[in-house]
Amino acid sequence: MKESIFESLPKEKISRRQFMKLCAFGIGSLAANSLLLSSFSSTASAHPPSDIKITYDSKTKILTALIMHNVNDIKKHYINKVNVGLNGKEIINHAISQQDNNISQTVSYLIPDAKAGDSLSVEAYCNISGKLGKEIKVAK
Amino acid sequence: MNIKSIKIQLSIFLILFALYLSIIGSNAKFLLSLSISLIAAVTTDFFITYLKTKRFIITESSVVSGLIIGYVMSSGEMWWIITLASIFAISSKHIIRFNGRHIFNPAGFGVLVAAFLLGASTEWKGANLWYIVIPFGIYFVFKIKKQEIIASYFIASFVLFGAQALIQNTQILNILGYLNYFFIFIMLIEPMTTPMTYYGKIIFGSGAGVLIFILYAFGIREAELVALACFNLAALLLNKSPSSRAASN
Repeated sequence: MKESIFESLPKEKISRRQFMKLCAFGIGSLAANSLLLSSFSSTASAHPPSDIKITYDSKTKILTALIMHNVNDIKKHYINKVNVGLNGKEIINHAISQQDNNISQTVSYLIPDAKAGDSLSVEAYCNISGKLGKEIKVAK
Repeated sequence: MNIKSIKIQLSIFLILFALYLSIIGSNAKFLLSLSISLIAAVTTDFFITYLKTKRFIITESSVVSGLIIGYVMSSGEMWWIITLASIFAISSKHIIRFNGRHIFNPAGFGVLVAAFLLGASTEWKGANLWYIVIPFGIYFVFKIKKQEIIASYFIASFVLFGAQALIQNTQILNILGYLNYFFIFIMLIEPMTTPMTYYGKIIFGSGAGVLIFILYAFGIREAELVALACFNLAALLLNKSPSSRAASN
């Protein structure tokens, strides 16, 4: 374990002032970013959906999933596939061509076979990169 | 074990962060897939290093690569796909080389090949937990002196995605949702495959930001990893260009 991360870095000659300017620039831009983020914590999603809120209505047998996925352009960057599983077995594979809105995608399915105690899972895929899966138990 | 080594520190951070994510998400599968990618990376590197040097060495870089692959790949993938991603990553480090250095970010290359050849999915675990990734990321960025890459990447991303947000009439703060903080602070700054000079780093960071924006616009899968691989290649030229040499003198 003797590798050094700096072993192949050349010794750059930059003035102390230049170095300080660079550090201030870097810290400034990152601090500004962090400040902006503080007002944005719940919706930041990177690529994969940031959250999936699943509900299942035992009376209507309808499963609804609210998939949180923050995007600028709903036609270029969207949730392109949703898979639904019942007790670990895939029962629905839903392809989607664009997102509902810039914040989220909502999907609903009729699942007549689900019984109390069964597990229902939802997996949502971003068309660019990343997926997220969540699971719930059907209430008695 | 040298605790002062940045790779050891990064490995410790990634292990602790993985434990945290597994606990809060009740996700034991993540730890299992992380262990698979880690063991595969370390074993592959151990084997290749032995063939090359006839010495038994476990490298810090193989630990970091294995951990990063575990974060990026989906935990739901079959164990052999995760193993192959680690094998691709470490093999690229030993085989695809120029002037004694590997060209591609090993973890990024391994996941990219697994995604396009084997149809593997990514999950980017923890990528949206900015309040954990950013503070530790800033520490690592400054330690390895890659702040120019990060600053120029952020500026390019804000300008392009900001303009797009204005045109699309969406909230400008949505841009922050586009940023993959794990990619930016852990993968983009890998020291061996990024430029070493001031201007080289600026071009690398801003260029990656611009290319990712373009790849998004075309709906290209794994935009970040594709852009990273392209600019890992460009880093060879950036380290050689006269302007970069002049800047470094």
